[in-house]
Amino acid sequence: MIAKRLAFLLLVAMALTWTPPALAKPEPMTRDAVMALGKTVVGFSYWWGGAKWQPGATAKGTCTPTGADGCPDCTHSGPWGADCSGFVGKAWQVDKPTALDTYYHPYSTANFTNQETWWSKIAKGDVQKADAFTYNKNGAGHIFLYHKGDPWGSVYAYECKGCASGCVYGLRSVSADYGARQRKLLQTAATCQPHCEGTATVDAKCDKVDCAASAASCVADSLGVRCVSSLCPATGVTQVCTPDEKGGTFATCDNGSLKDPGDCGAYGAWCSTVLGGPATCISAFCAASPSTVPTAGDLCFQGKRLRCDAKGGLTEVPCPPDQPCSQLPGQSGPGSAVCGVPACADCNDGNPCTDDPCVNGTCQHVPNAAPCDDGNPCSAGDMCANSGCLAGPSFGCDDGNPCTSDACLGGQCTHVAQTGSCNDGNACTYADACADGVCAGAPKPCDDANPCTSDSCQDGTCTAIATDGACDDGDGCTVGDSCFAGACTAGAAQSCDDGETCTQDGCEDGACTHSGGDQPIKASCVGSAVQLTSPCTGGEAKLLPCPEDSPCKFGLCGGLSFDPNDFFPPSGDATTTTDGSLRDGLPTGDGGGSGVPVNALVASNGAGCSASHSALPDGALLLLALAGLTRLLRRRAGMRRHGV
Amino acid sequence: MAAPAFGTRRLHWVLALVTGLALASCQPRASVPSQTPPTTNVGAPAASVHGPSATPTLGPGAATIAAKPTPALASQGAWHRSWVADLPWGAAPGQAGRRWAAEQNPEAPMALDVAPDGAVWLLDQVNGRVQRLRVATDGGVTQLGSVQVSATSQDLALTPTDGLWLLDRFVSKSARLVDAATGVTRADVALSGSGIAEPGAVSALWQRGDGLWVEVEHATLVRVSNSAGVPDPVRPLLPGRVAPGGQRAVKALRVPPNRVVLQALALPHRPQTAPKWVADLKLPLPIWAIADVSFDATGRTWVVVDLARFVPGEDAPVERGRMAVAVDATGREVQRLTLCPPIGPEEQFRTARIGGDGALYSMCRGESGLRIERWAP
Repeated sequence: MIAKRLAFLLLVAMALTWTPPALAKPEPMTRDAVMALGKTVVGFSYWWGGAKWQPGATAKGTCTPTGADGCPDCTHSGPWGADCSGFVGKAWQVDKPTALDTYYHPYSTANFTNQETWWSKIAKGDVQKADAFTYNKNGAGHIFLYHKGDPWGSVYAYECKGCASGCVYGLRSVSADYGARQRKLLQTAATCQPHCEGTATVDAKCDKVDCAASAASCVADSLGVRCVSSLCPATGVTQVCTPDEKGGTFATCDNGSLKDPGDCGAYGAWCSTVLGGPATCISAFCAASPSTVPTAGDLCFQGKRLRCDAKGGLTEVPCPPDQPCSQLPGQSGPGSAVCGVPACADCNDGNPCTDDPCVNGTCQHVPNAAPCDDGNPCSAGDMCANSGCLAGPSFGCDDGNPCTSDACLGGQCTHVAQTGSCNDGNACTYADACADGVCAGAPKPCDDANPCTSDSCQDGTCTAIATDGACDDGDGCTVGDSCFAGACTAGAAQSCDDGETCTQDGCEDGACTHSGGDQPIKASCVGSAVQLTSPCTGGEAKLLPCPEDSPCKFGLCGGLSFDPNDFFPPSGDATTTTDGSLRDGLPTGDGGGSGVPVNALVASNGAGCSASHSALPDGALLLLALAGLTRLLRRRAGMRRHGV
Repeated sequence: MAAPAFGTRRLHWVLALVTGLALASCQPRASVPSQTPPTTNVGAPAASVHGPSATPTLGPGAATIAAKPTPALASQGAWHRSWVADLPWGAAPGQAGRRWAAEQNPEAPMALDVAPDGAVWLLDQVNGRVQRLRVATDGGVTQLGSVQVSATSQDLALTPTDGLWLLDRFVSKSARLVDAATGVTRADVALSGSGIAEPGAVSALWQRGDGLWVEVEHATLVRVSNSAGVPDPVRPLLPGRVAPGGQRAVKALRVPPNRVVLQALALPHRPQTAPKWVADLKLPLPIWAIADVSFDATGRTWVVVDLARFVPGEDAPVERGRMAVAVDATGREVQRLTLCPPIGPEEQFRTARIGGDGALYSMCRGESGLRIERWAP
């Protein structure tokens, strides 16, 4: 920091004390030459103490602040850059001509502000391009090259502004504290007598401008030397069309110079000179092209009536609210519009197969589907289709008989009998054939040989419907057989009862049989004794006394069950339950005192006497009862011993 | 940093000695004003600076003009100065950065804008920030916030959506839209294309209801984007500065020695309704530059002009001033205000304007700080 300030001090000291060598002297320059140098600095970096740049170089340099107070608290990198005074010194080429890319920085703002060596102080109101505004006070200072002013008193300046902004060109304010300076030895620009050189103008400064570049030629007359556009007369003010793709642009010729360009196309118009005189905008609605004379008349556009006048002007002429703008059929452009719905001439086209309405002044012919006559006497039901008459089916000669050949001859039907196979349309016949103009076939067989069905054919399918009534099931031991659900069901068995109680009656092959046999024995209680009865005994009952402690219950002594196996030992042991009932699930009695069929119990052992009808003798029954009781008591005693 | 090529180290010592003697025998050398190093104040707590204790003083040879109103405008009219805030030079909250240095452009705050709530947004680009300030009627300044911005910013404009446009003509060559609270960039709109011959020609930013307009050469407005920063492909143009509501446009022309002319223009989309008038305003001192043209809530057009009178042979003016003149909707002058004049070499960009609250704000520089004045009915 201190070193930098010391360097700055040295810079100021040198500027104040150093006298340029006597031989150094600026060359005369024009203001334009100064500006040409000045503008090359734009984009280069600010370089405190720097003063060299190379126009066109891509490396512009970089200034980086190292403190808050601006340079000299900054660093610079890159080969090019300048500070404000280095820049102006180079643009002014003081105090001697020096290449821009060669470092030379002889003056600071202190010099430019406080001295007048190769520059002079001028009034601020007299400042021109290439002059400078400078300020220096209290060690701070700035200088910039003036280019031009603006309406507010701001100025366009070239300047190396500072570390952050670099060397720039732009509008800026100028404090009233700045002073104006002008370089000495400013050369007045060369002078020429204005004249034409071919297509080029040469002005008083000897600057040459080729008019051909702007499609013009050089003209020298009482108005001076100037470019005159090929579109313009040399003098006077008039409007002309200018070429463009859309034919809409125009401009004003002012003594040969094109000014104030405009575009008719923005309003949907052509630029045209077809009417003679200066160019005018004519509506594209009123003329087909820029070279077409506009047509007067009305037209419709977006429902509005627009009126073209003879000059191509376009104005809206509203139609009454209830009569909207309508375009005449087949027409467009001017003269095509009317207010309200336009009428039609006779729209009938003589075609019965079209409807012929008038829509907005236009006849329309709409195909219909009306009946019509195609002119053929043998067709009937002719109908319109696609605007033409389509023949209907042949006039009604078809008699529907496949065994006749039908024809229409001169509007009369003929029917000629045919032979051969045919189809009578009945699926329940077969082998249909024509005979004498009639189609018939043989019935299809459907008998199923079941006496209990009614057989028939329906739509070619055999069906059997169950019937009622008597039938024969083929079993001679039944009588009164009858049909049920399509099958013959056996009737009642033929009666073979011979009236004998103890014979077994039967029927075999339609004949009755009679054989002897037992009847079941029934047991019941009579008091404390068991009463046994058998039909075969003629209803005689036998009483069997029971022990005193086991009176008869349910037809048994003590009401207890007994195991028939005790009488007819089975192949295995029977098991009793704790309550003594039989394990086979047979009922133990209903306790009602009614008789229990003993044969039911006996039959449950599987080896009973069902086929045998032999009656037990009285002694055997008694023995059976007693043996059963004894065995039962023994078994119960054993169960108690085992704690069951 | 590159030092000038002055020869050998021995020569430097000799020159330094000679220079020191020369300076000692001539005049005292003024030093560059000291400055507090800038600091970043994003998110810093609000700080208050009460004033006006540091009234700017005039530089040598300069004097504030006395008001020279016309008899019809004997008073400052219905407008009065509602507060004066003096911000010392420095980098602390509520202070303003100034940079004077050798061989470079001297700078101080270049622009300000004022929100509808009266908060002053000060472009303190030397400190790389925009300060949001609240000024009390006694001149007390409270920094409400601060966002970091580029040191090459030159103008600013507030948006209705908490955005802040910043003009950087020379480095980014863009109008940058940042979040007014955080400084985060939302969009960058290039200062180029149709209507803008070059970035350096831009003379102001205008945030209008339909987008961002940049002013070129104090003469033409070009809409370059919508309010969100989406570039405008149409680039419509408007002449001059446009009054709120688009009733008219006004162009200002500096006419030396002592006149300013305001010209009301028809806008292209309202050719029939816009008033057409010219106000030729005579000023009590030679006009130096026009500082601002803007519009208040009653439809008045205000022009702020900097005035300076010189004598031959002197660079600094012998008399200077700043004046605001208002004309009504018909171009008739209705108000004049004498404002504090800018002193010093610093470049300024937008140092006066009608704020979003309808008051007139003007700032001027002095030896010890920056003064901001508020004028209101």
